[in-house]
Amino acid sequence: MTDHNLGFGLGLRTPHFQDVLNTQPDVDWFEIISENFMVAGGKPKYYLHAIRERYPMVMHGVSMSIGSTEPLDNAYLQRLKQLANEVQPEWISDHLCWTGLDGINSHDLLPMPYTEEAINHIVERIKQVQDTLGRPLLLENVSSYISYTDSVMSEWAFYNEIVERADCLMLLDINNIYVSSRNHYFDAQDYLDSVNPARVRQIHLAGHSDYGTHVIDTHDHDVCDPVWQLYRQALQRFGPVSTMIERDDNIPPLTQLIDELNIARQIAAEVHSSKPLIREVAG
Amino acid sequence: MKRSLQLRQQQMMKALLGNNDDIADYIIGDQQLDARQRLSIYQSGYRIRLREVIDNDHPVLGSYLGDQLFEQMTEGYIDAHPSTFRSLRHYCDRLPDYLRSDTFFSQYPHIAELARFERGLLSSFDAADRDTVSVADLQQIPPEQWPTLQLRFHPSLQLFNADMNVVEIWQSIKAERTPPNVTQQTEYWVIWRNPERLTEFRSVDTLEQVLLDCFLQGGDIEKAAEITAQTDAVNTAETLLTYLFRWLELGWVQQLTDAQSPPIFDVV
Repeated sequence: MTDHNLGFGLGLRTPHFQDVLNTQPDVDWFEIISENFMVAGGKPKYYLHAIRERYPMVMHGVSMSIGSTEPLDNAYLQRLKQLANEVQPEWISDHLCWTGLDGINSHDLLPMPYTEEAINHIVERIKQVQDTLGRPLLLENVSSYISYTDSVMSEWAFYNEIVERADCLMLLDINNIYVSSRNHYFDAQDYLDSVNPARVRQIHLAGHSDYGTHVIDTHDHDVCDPVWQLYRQALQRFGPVSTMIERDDNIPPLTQLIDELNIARQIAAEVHSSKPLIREVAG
Repeated sequence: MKRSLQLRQQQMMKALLGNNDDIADYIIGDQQLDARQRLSIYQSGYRIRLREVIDNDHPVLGSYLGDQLFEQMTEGYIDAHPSTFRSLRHYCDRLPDYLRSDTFFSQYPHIAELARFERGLLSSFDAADRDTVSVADLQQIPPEQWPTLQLRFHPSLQLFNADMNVVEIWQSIKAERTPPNVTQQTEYWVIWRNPERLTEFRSVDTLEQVLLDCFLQGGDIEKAAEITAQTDAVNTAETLLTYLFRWLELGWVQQLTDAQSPPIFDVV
């Protein structure tokens, strides 16, 4: 494993709390949704601490709203920092998107227009967040269903530019690349080829719902074959990267998710046993 | 420069909240999906997400209302209350108020009370953790110090006072029994989280409610004894001690303090 490679993890979900403690499954690490544990106490905090004693963790947020034009929520950032002090995560991530405006939260990961204005805006805010948290932030690419007429570049050009200028890291969601490639008719391989491997700290895998004319990122199905294929291509380019499966709905038994995680392990083993790695250096 | 990004986000929020679809003019459509169809994915997603939160937070209320009325409530609440919270955990905090003020639902006040009771259960579920003090801890304190003792309750403990049989209705629905008719009656309940982190609730009689309220307002044991003495309790001390010991055994008390000195048992 490379320096930051935690191996193969799962998103920690409430239905699995007790199973994780009882069976101590063969999962290398867990990712928590930060907002779910910004509560005072009770069962969520009990299980969080008990599971953290046994496994490495990373924190994944859904409401930083880094792209919003309303001011950053310092109270939220302080709560995030406080949670990080409790959890001591390997890293903290959120999404390259906006989630609300003027105090109203959409609870969705809304895409940005890919413009210089948006890049400048987000880069400045990432720097503020990283200063507040005292650590680099990982930003995840989101699935999207719309493109704005304002956009002047590809999603991946936008993402790469922000990450380089803000000197932050990438949480690359392979399913989201696939979903967006279907919805916006681009070649997912072009996306992967544009990414600087040294920026990729974590990979998400998930399932989606395919409606024929479009695909929605629902996290309620198994990872599908084209996403596994894209994951294989990603590993060929990026080398070993901490990888996990996100399941948020229609959640199966823990053992079933571990079986699915073992597919990722198998693909990684096949890729890395056959290819020497050259990692680019972050600029 | 800043204004165009801000304008797009304002337009998008208006579309999500159902105010207008001006943003569609700035979304690229195609033969497979035009701009409005693409926008509608986000618009329906917004409402589905909030509906799910109401459904998850208020399962008994949902069963009681049935599909049609539940939909009427969720759609009305989502329209009236866009989320102002980072976490969906608090999205339904205003649901009881909404049900009390809505023209239709306010005709049936027990519906708001059912929602208030379910929110009380949720509040206890993830209230702050504190260790609790025991009967043995109380007995270690010299009796001469007892009169000025104050009680600090576990953060999960709440008094739920109702003027109808709403908890009985809730229990019946939860057990999938036919709920009783609504009756007007004063009821006092305590909701708390037990040491096994399970949320519990228990009815309390009028005196117990008054005594709990006395301690919650900062009263001490002497004050509680005065209250007890004014009732028809045969033995004031025995009556009061029965309550105190019960509360300690149930894990309701996190601290015994003396107003005149630092906390005696501060297990925070």
